Amino acid sequence: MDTTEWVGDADRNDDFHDVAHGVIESIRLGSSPVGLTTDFVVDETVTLLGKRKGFGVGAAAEVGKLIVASPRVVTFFVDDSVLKESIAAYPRYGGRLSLTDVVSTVVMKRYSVNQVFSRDSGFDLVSGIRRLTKP
Amino acid sequence: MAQVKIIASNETIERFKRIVLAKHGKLELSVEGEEALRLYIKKYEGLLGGLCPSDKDPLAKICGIGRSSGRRNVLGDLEKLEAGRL
Repeated sequence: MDTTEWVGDADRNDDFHDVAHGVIESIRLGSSPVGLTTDFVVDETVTLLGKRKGFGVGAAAEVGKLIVASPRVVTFFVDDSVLKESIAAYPRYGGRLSLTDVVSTVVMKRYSVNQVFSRDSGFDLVSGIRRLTKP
Repeated sequence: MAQVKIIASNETIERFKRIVLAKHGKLELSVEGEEALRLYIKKYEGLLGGLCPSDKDPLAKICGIGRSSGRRNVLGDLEKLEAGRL
């Protein structure tokens, strides 16, 4: 689960609100498997929402809290080895993927997860990972 | 391919196997010792019967929890965020 889905679902005025909501609902209702995200993604999500005028920093923080609290989402906390591996891999994508995205790909490979819900076509550069935009 | 034999209590192995099956749908034990298994179990044991009813899941509260004052696009905003222009 990447930032685009969380932000899209949370903000009623985001272009991806309806489609992102469908993705999150599929996890909540069990038609998609338990989701995997990272603390980097939670960080990015809360930071981005908190900077949007009208959304509110309180609501942004609440989104982070809800993601971490869900038993249907495993939040991976980046450790030393994942961070080092991600930094080493970062230049491979020529800046098309943020470090947060690269961390997601490293964590996915460690957990044998090969599908990512995202609107970011940068993930299409990663071999062995299939990007999904709907459940 | 190298193989590692793990000696751990039956209970530890059983819980580990159930969690891995719940997460991945298949079991592939790799290089893990009993301590690693215990840490893994501690981290993910919530997956074993720990799911609340879907209407009580915190995910239900995320949808439309806020509304920006203008129309936004998360992809555009992520680019701005990375460039420090948001």
